[in-house]
Amino acid sequence: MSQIELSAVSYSYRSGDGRALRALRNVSFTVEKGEFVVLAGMNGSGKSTLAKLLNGLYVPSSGSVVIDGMDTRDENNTFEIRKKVGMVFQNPDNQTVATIIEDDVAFGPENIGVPREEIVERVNWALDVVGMSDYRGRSASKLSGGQKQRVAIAGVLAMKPEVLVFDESTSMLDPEGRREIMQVAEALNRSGITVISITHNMDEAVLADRIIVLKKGKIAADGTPKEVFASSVPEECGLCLPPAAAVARELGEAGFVFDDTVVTEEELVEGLCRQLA
Amino acid sequence: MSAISIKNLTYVYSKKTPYEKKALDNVSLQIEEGEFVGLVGATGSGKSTLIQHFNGLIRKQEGEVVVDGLDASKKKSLKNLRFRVGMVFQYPEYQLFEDTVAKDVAFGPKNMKLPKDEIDRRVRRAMEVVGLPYDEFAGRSPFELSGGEKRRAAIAGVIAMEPRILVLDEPVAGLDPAGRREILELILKLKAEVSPTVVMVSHYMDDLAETASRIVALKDGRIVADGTPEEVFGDREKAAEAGLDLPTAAKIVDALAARGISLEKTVVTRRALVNGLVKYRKDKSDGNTKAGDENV
Repeated sequence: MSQIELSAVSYSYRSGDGRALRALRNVSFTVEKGEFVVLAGMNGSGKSTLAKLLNGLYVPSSGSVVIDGMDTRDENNTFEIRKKVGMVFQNPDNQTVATIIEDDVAFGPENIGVPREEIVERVNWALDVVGMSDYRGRSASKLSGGQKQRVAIAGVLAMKPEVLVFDESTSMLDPEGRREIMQVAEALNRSGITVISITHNMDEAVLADRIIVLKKGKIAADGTPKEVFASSVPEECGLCLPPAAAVARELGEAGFVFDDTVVTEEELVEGLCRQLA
Repeated sequence: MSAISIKNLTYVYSKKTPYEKKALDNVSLQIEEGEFVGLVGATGSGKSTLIQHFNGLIRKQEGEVVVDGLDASKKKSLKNLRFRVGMVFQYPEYQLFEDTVAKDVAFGPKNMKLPKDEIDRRVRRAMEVVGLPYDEFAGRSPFELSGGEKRRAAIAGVIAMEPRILVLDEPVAGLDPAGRREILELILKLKAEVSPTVVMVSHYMDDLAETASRIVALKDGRIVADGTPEEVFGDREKAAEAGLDLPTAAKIVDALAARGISLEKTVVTRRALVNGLVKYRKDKSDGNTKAGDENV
C-alpha cells in the first residue's frame, strides 16, 4: 500500500452560472512515504485543486483519494487525514491565528486535545525544526515573509503530520525567504516526511525526486526532473526550463555537447569543464 | 528635467512610538526619462515606501520629491501626479471591480475628466496594447477572465491614463512561467509605446538582468548599489554587501572560475554567458592550434 493513492480522480467546480467546470480529469498516481514530489503546471491546470483533495478539503467528484488506507470520501476519516496531511499555503499574512508565535504554533494541537506537556514539547520541537525558537514569545506581525512562513510550517508540524503539502508557499517571498523555506522542506523530507510542493519555480523543481506536470486537469508527465526536462512537456505545458537547462540548450545549439540532460547549475558547470578544461 | 528626482528623502513609520521604524534613510535618486530601473532589496528594505512617494500616496516627511516637474509635497500637484505616474501594485487583479472590462479600464481616464471620445480612444488603445482586443473583451466581466488576462486587464486600467512613468511592484508574482514571460514582454512593449520611464520592483534577478537598464538596490532604507546590471552584479563584493542574489549567469561564471575557466565578471545574462563560452572555446582552440604549429 502506498501512502497516497489517487485512482481515476475527477473533480468539478460549479461556476457562477451553474456550469460544471472540470478541474481534474481521471488523475491517477501514488506517492510513497518519504518522496519529494513537485506538482507543476500553468495557472488553472488543477494543481491547487489536487492539493486540496489530498487532505479532504475537497473530495473527488468521482474516483478516490486514499491516504494510508483511509478514503477521503468517508467523513469518519477526515480528522485522521487532516492530522496526517498538513498544508502550507501561499500568503504568509493569513495563516496565523494567534498574536504570539508560540500560541500560534500551539493552536493546532490544542484543538485536537493534546495534553499540555506534550503541546509544550511539540511547540518546542516544531519551532526548533524551522529555526524560530528565539522568536517564540514575539508577535507574528513583526516577522519577515520567510519567517512568517516558517511559523506557519511550525504550526503544521505541531500536528505531527506525515505528509506536508506546500501550495506555492514560496511565491510571495523574496529570494532569502524562498531559500529558508526550501531548506526547511528539504530537512523535513530527509527526516522522513513526504513533501508535495506546488511551485512555478523550476529552481525548486529540480530538487525534487519526481515532478508531476498537470495540463488542463490531466497528468502530462510524471518522472524525475531529468526525464521531464529532457522531454518536450515543459514547453507544451507552459513551464520554462530551469535556468541551467535553458543555458545548456542554447549552448547545444552553439555546438557544445552534454552527455546527459543538464538540469542543475552543478551539472552545467561539470559538463562545461569536461569540454573546456 | 529628470523623470523622478528625489533628494535626501527620509521616512519614519509610527514616529514617536515604541514601533518607530525608519523605512527610508536619506535617499537621493535621479531617474531620467527613458530609463528602465529595476528596484531590488529584501522584504522591508524600503522599496514599497519609496515607490509610494512617486505619486504622493505617501507624503514626504523630510527631503524633496519632484516627479515629472511636479513637487509631490504640494497638495495641488497630487491629482496630476496620480495621472502621470501609473502604479501597478502587487496582485493588481484584486483591484478589478467593475462589471465589464471596458468600464474597469475606463475608471482612470474618467477620473481625469477627459471628453468621452478621448476616454473611448484610450480604453481601446490600452486594451489592444495589453493584448485584450476591445471587440472581444470589452463587454466581458473581469472576474471571468483567466489569471493572466485579469492581470493584463488591471494593467490596462493603469495604461489608459497614459502615464509618463510606469511603476510596477512585483508584476510577475504568482504567475506561471508562461504568464511571467508574457507580462515581461508586455512591460517592454508598454515602455516603447506608452510610458517611456519604467520602475519595476522584482525579486527575480534573471528577469532584471535581461530587461532593466539600471539596478537600484535598497537595504535598510538606504541605496546600497546603483548602476547597470553589469556594473551592479559585476562587482561581486558590493553585490554581496548589498544582499543581492546574483543572476544565474553570474553564478555560473563564478562556479566556472573556481574550476579554472574564467569569463568576464560582467556576464550577467544568459545570452552573454553563451556568447562568452563560445568565445572562450574559440580562443582556446586557436591557442591550441598555434601551440601545435610551433611544435611542427
